Amino acid sequence: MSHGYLLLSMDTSQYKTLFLQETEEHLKGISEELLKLENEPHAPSGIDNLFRHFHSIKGMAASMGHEAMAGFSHQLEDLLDAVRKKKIPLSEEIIDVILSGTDILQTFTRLIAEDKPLDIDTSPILSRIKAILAEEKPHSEAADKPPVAASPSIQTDASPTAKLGLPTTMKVDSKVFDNFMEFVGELFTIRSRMNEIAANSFSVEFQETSHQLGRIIEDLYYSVITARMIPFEDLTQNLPRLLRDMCKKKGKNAELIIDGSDVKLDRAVLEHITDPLVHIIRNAADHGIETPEERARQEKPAKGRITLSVARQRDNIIIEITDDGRGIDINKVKEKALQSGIPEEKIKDMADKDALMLICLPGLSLAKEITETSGRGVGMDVVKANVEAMGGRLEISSVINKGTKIILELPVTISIVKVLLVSLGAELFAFPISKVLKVLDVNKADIKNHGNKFPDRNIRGQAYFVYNDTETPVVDLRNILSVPCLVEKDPISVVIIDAKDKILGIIVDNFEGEIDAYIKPLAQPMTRMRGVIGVTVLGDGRPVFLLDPAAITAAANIPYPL
Amino acid sequence: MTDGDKLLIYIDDKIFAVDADAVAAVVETERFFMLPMLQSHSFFRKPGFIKGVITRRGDVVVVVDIGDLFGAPSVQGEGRYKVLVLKKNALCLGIYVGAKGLSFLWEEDLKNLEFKPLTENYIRGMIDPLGKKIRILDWQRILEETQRLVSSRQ
Repeated sequence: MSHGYLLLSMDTSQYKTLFLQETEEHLKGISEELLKLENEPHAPSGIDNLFRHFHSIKGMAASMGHEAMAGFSHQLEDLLDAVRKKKIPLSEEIIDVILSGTDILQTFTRLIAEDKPLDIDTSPILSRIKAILAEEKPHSEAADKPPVAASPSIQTDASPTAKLGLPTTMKVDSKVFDNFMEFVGELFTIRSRMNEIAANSFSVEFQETSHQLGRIIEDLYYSVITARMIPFEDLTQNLPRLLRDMCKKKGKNAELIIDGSDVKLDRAVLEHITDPLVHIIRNAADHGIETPEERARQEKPAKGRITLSVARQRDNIIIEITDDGRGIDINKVKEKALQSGIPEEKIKDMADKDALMLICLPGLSLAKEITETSGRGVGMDVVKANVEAMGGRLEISSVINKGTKIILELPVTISIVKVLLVSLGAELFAFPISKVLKVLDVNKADIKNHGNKFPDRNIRGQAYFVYNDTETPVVDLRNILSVPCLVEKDPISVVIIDAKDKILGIIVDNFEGEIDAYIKPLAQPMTRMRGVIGVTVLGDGRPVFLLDPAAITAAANIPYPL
Repeated sequence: MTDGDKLLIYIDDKIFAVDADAVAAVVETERFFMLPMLQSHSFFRKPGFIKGVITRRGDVVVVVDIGDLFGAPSVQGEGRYKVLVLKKNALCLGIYVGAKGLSFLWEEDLKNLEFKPLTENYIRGMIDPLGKKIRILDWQRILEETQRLVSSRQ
């Protein structure tokens, strides 16, 4: 537990589990070292190791505000320090006192776990420590004397002779939870299949049993997902150091303010945003924050400020990274985009918000020099790809000389996703329900195409229909995926999706219902496929690819942001 | 040539071989599912040698037709499609082998055969027992090429 004494002024309840877990580990370490010392009393590392364990317990207990426990550990630490410095020889008496002291620390731990007052009489042990320390004499004088006979041990309820106990918390490899999630995911898929069968079954008993099973699977899922949730802080704890080192190299001065680090996310989501987050912070420090001289000219505080705030909004996590640096010059972005081959007509009428997204184009970097950390143009495209691969969204806003804000909107979990199934012939595809506004049957006659009555299947962003009094573009999924047209029907099935901040209609053959799907990341060679977030396999073995509405929008050539 | 047993694949009049220890399974399937590839421009064409995907034990496997890849007539199946699933660590690729049978060439038979390196694409080299000219497939190169073609950042 590296939080140290910084926790004194904070609500420490959230760290209780971690504290108990780590204290248990140190106490176990103490027992092991003591047993080793009894067999090998002259082993030099043993006392040092013991000292470190007690020192850690003292620090953690003080951080958590458990002064009685911290004070008691301190006394034991003093005793070991005297042995370590050879002021007193190690004796059976000392080993016994330490063992008894360990039992008391064990009792402290149990009381903390049970939220009970730390009401333990430690005076007998403290008196013995005092008596031993009072007899301090140079080790050399006593070294050859036989060990002092031990006084009778003080029995506490934590003494191994009183009761055997197991820790209430365990450290488990995260892979175990990944496996759990995979099994739960498969159960979800089977549940969906079973629901289908149950719906067509005449057996009420079967329907009820299927329903009960579904409830249990859902409970199991929530238990596993809760176990996989970890605080955002676990990801950010090294960022201040990273920023400090970067600033030092660049002769800059900046601080990182982190807000909302107690917000919990699925470990899988955190894994996906580790690199993007580091990249964004590096960009902010490298290109955003100015040198102290430049900041002085801008009448800004000498110390730059990067704020990382995290908040939960329903099933989404919103991460905002803001810096008070020099901002992004939109004209320069457009200039670079032109140089990289994007047609001028496409760029010139682009809204600022859309133009800023051009920095996410592969290979487009505004950096004048390529630095060790950024400016190679391989960063923001990866950030965007990672975020969108999770079904998330990236937004950039910037004001010259005021700073830049990057918003990542991510799902809390990416394992089980509620999806809308749609079909194209015999193929099934899925859209995240979170992006689906509505499903509609639209008459062919209501779809216009720049004067044509009904678009043929070469829609490519030309067609629209009126939805909510707004001309809404429609694209045909068959066309986007190069699937030949089969039989056209009237009315046609349209999924209205919220692709970024634009509304788009996607024509599909049929709607096939909603399911909770366990979405697996794409494996090689599919890992970098455009427009596909992941894949699920149905109970009957059919694969269903989860499509990314934002990428479909881009593929439809609709003048949307990238 | 002694780096393990080989599994032989017969495509048209050609014989290909893969390392037998990379073969995770030979599965039969009634259909291939579509690998959704977004059209990014009007001249976009799906790589013909990518047949689609199958699923095996909850995993999705991309299947390629090596007949198409080597300019031979596309492999024809008759109702059921036989797919060789090759796997090494996280890499997995399905090779469509049509309806023809497969056979093995054991390590002890390979001992006395000369391995001739070839510069041909996706081929590690050739062995020539009794004039059969067996090409050793570099399936990981095929997988890399597949990845390149289906990737959004080619």
